[in-house]
Amino acid sequence: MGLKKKSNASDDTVIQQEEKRSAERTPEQLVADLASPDSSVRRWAVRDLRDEENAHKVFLERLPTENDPTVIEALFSALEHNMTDVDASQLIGMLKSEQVQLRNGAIELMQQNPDLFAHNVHKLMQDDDPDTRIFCVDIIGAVAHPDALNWLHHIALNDDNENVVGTALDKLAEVSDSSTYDILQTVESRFPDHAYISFVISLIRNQLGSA
Amino acid sequence: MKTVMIVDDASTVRMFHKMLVSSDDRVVEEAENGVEALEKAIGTPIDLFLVDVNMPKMDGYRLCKEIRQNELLRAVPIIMISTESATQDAQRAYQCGANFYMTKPVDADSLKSVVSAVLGGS
Repeated sequence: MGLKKKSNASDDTVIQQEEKRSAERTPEQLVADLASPDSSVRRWAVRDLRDEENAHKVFLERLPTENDPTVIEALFSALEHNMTDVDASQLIGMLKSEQVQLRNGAIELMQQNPDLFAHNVHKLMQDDDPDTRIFCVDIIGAVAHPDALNWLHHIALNDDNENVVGTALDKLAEVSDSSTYDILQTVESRFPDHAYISFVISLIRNQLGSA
Repeated sequence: MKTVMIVDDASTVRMFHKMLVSSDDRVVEEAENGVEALEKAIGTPIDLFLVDVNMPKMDGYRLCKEIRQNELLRAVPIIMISTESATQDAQRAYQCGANFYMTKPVDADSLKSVVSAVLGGS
């Protein structure tokens, strides 16, 4: 009986939601719904707006002010398809957010769009904030792009911040090949007294030596 | 035997910190993020958390708060380790419940000293 009751309640909820959604709403109303105090209304608005022209622009504007994790998830999910260069530029800005879900969502979307990330990677590698450069390295470490290894080498050889270089070496420990061997001595000489960098370099050398 | 949990998304950092804090009278547990750390800590009594700040799924600040709100874990000391060296970052860590805040690159001797001071022994 209990199960049946629960099932009926669930059916009712679905019917109510369907009725709610079947009420015709213009794109303008849906955009207004994104600011509704009810998070389920905002979530449905994201879902119903996703195929509208300019939806990405609206979603990207909404993301920094949205505070419900499920709506943020829906917004990032809606942005997954047909990302543009403009979208990518805005997402890059979210790497500086204090909100971990925003940062991680931006990182994941960049990882899923290697070519768009590639258009922005040099700008990110030169960002003034070392933490943003570390997030850039995190993306490089997971992105499937033919230049990823070269980017990591470039960062390890040129970035002045030991934590950025340390993170690049973390990633190289996972994706290095024989071309990495040649840069290790130079990187080591740039940070001669750095225990962690020495540790990772020796780890990579061991991996390459035993490969 | 004391148990130290190292929470960091970079496996090389976990290996490095494990090398620094390991001793005959310590066991080291590892987790890649805050969610995994909490799941593991439920089944294993932890004597010290070594927590990175920037991690996917649940960052170090949030993990700190979760630990302090958890009946079983709230008294466990937490050392937070971050690349962020600004005063407000340390303040934020302490507000979230960290006992110590260290910036990367961590000085090996300093980390060993703090861990020994917290746990006793070598």
